[in-house]
Amino acid sequence: MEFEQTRRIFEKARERFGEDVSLSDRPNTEGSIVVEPSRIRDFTRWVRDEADGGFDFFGEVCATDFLGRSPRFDLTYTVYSTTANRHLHYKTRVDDPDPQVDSVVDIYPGAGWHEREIFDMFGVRFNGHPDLRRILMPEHWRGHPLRKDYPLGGEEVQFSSNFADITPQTLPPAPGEDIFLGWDVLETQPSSYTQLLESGAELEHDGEGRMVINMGPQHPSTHGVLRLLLELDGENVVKAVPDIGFLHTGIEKTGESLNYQQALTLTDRMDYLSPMGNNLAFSLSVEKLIGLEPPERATVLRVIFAELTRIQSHLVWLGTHALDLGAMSAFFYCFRERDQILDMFEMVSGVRMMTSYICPGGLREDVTDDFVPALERFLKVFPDRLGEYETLLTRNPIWLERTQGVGKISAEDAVAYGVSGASLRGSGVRWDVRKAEPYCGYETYDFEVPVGTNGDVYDRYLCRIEEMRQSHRIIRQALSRLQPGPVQAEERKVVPPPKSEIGQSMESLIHHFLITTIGFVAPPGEGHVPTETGRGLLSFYIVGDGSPKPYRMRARTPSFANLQALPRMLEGCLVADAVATIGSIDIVLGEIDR
Amino acid sequence: MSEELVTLTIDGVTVRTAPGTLLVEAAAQAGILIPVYCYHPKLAPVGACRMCLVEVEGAPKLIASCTTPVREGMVVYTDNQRVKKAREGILEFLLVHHPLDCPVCDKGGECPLQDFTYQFGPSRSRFRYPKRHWDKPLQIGPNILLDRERCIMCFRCVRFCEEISHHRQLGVFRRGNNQEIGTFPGQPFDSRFAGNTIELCPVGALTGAPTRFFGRTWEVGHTPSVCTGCSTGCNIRVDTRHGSEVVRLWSRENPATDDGWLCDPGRFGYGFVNEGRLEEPLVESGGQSVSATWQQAIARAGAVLEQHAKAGTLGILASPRMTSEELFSVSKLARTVLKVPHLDHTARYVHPAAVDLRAFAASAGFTPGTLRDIQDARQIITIGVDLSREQPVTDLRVKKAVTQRGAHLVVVDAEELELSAFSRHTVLWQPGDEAATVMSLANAVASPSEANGMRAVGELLRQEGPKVVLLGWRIGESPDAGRIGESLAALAQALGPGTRCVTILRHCNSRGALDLGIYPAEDPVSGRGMSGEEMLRAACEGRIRALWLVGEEPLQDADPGLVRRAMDNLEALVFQGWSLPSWLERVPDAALPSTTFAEMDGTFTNTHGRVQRIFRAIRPKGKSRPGWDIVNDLAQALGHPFESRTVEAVFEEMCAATPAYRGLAWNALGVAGRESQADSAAAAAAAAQG
Repeated sequence: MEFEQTRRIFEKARERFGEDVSLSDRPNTEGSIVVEPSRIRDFTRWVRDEADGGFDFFGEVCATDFLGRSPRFDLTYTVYSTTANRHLHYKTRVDDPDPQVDSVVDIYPGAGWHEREIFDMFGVRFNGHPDLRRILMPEHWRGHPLRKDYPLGGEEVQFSSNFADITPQTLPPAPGEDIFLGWDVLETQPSSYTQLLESGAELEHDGEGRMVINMGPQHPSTHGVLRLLLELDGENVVKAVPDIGFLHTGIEKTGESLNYQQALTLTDRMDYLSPMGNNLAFSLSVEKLIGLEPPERATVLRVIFAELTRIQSHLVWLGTHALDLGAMSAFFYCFRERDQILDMFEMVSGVRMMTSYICPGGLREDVTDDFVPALERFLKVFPDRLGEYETLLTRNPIWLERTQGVGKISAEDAVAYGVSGASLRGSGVRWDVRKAEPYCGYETYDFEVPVGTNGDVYDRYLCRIEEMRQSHRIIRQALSRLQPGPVQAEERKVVPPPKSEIGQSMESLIHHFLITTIGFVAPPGEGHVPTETGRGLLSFYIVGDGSPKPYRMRARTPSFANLQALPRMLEGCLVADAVATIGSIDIVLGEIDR
Repeated sequence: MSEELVTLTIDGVTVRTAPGTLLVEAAAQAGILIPVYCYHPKLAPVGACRMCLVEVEGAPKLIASCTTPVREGMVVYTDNQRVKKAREGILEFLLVHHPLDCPVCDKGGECPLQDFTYQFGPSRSRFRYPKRHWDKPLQIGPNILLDRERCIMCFRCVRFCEEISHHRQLGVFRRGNNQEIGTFPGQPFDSRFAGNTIELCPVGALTGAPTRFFGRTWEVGHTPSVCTGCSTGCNIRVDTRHGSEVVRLWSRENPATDDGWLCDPGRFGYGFVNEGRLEEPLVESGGQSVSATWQQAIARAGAVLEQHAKAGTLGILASPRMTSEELFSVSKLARTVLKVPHLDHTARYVHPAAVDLRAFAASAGFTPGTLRDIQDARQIITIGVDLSREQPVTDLRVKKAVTQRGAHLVVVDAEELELSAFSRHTVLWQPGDEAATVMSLANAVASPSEANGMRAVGELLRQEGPKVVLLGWRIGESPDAGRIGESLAALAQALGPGTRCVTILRHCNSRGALDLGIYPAEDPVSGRGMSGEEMLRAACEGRIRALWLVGEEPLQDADPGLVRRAMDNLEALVFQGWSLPSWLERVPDAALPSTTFAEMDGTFTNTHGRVQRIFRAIRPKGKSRPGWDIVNDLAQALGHPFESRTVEAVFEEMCAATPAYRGLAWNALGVAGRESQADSAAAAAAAAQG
């Protein structure tokens, strides 16, 4: 989105909200509108319904702690329009002590978990939020980890078992000193599931015939460490409450302590089925912050790898999804092709999963000579292989029985919850970031965006199958465009000079030395580029402060938002359908918990 | 500041600054960075490196902002195309001969040449010819290595030697492409301030021999601390690796104590932290030292202390290099639990009246001063102290006052000192004649007629202006120190009220030891305690049968024969410290390993009374523990547990119990420290009297 568009929307907002809105134009960004906290609900409603045709899709709200500034916290809302293909950032600013703002959960239901995450990580309270609890950290946790005055490392982990011992010495200073310690969470005991039910999950016990069961966190079909609390009436799911955070590794916090190249490696580990997609999203945001344009060959290769990643990610999804529902063989077929792709990853990056291959400025290195032949071999066989999968499943009566009409979600609900990717398109919303807000030249490729009609498990299945076919198409086109050339931008202040030069040139040696040891310096500003990964809308929101490290590295991950809609899909399902539904939204807990 | 300020514009920013300010400084005040190599705020500008070129409207060429003072209405550009191009050009020239050493250079990672090349320089080389090569590194002094290839000819090191240390040992030789920094033929660069040139060097041309290859800068941790070399209390930065090893000490400017410099003995004197440490408690068993648990060692030590304290045969010698918290704990244990009067921090013979040198000076009528007073003084008199050896960094302050502000220096000592070269007069005394000499000086100042050969110095000191007397501990060693009190009183009278006096003590916490009463004082119950030397003599005679040695320094300067005899005669010895002294032939009954300054928190009080924090930089070696913690355990073993269980609590307790430290707060000390109260109280008292 261009700055001019933001300005146009701002001018309309000015007419409506007067002095309560202002325009923030930090460098290198598309700009954002800053709203007084008191008007945030009015403004959000206006943005959803009226502003420039309305922004129906809630991307995220994230916070940034500008310690030492008043007001201290920036809350940045990002909303998208699925019809007009654009997005908008708007901000509100809240201050210490007791930072709080009105919740927008009733306007955008999708804000629910994002607001909880901010409450958890920053201690900002959202008034009117129906279920404001910690979401990633345990209930008893003390302090808000993403605040800038929270230590970056070295402190002891607060388990419930050692909490009493470590409290006085190793926790952040007491209230009134520097660190705000949170509301009354200290009184809350470590959550047992019954307490969780009572504390806010709105589940009721009516005594007769109902029971609450734990599905996960050790359940094989939750695809990671997800815990679902299912309230059952017989075999029917009455309510489902996801409990996440078991895999929280503090990636956003860690990112603030690493320089940009090092932070890149965290993105691999976030969504481990889509490393290149994550690398790409991160690199695009950083490049936008710096104002850097990778060379043509790098862009084409990026498209190839992004689509290969999408295919391999879908293959894992398909294999395990079918396995969950008892179809064993699909798994072996899928992993056969996935291995071909991982072989290619290994060829170019030396690593099968944690590639860190796409990096700010282009690619780590050019592809090896055997890559293109390997890719061609893959492209040759893949359409047939795709046919094999379909033969196994698409008209298989058991498969149809298990998936059709199961886990339905309407298009309106899906949009409102911020569901993206095939999970959204299965409900008939034709919104794909590659088409809506193209990056890497996707607008120049010829491909279709498949959509479903019913929004059930089967339609999501069909969408992903077709997406693999379309990805195959895109790779073919990209391969035909691949020309020799550099794969890294010619900006020596960001991209280290080639190794061959550093034995000859002092200038090159110094640049190589500093970029490697300390990191390149990104200017103050913000970078944000939405991308479409196998799971949906992934974007990094990078705040630079003129140092080699990101001041804030926020990841808006598709699985996080998609999982939020799961309870909606599960209402009225059978327990067995829960397995099918979880599989169909293709979550990766690594990127949900980060 | 009655002067009119000058207004100028730098990059569109209006700056108002004092006349005479250099452009580069004015820009810094406005938050604009101008890259510099040869410029240094403490050195006179030379404009050698041309890195700081800026454009000034009306000037035909770019000018060096480090040599150009501001003018009213100046319009300066530091960031336009012309300036950028010039900077690129200068950097390109600097890099032409610069060797490809970054991967093995100590400076890599904290190198202005790297930083400015990244920020302002070209990213590609055009120079295609072989680089100039020279032998390297040259060991030009005991502590300094020179790599001439890396040198960019900023002359900071040469200027430091000329302007600051006045040890003219470095020079610039030859011209043009062959220009090099070097020492004079056959002369080593052995100045005791040589280490400062390592810090001044903007590249890796001068590196420290002891600290060479200390590690890469980005894996080195930095902790603020205080040098333990002498009593100046220079602020330092302790650089550590893996949180377990001290690899380097670096200066940390504090105008109140060090003025930004360090001496080599301090800078390189950290070896005792890393090596030769006593890492676990030892107890004596069958004539051998065997390792023991802390419980065993404490029990053994406690038993010895208790037994001999009851018998009145225990002496305690504490090191003035321990932190105040440690000394306070020792003193508290001695006075309240053991009830031992024999407690001292030095084993040197000092006249009883002069034990507490600062009280001695105050009673003579001097106003207590601080090291900072030297820089405003018109007349500086050193009495019985060789600053150049004992307090090198204060010596730099005196040199600065003399050479840069024309202050008058008078040296009173037994022999010509290094500082005599800077003094107007050197007054020599014969050993034994100290008091008489000081008295004649006082008379010469007081009345011109009595000037028996000291007319000129008397006249000089009669001039108006702030006066500072630096009084060394050596006068207290003089046999007629008893009479020196009246001589000093006469001198104070002659110099006039308001004359400030700084007593120059020996060790980093000697002042703290005095403030905390670690000297044999008159005790109403047990009578006068013995001084260190008296204890040793008593040990030889069998009146003292056990010693508790806290640290080794108290015995370092004592007569070795006396020490040996005393040790042989002792029945029991409890040693507490960071390493067993090499001269200690006897097996101590218990040896308790304590931490060095690098491994603990605490405070030191410098010679003029500034209380400064040290911070824990590395993990304690082995099983060593802070001294106050060990004393806490001893108190517990003796059945009188102390309440203060943290260093902060000990500090608060100490401040409450010690008049000089009243009003100090642990958290308010910060990294620069606070002046203690004694001086201001004494100053108020002196003012009231005057």
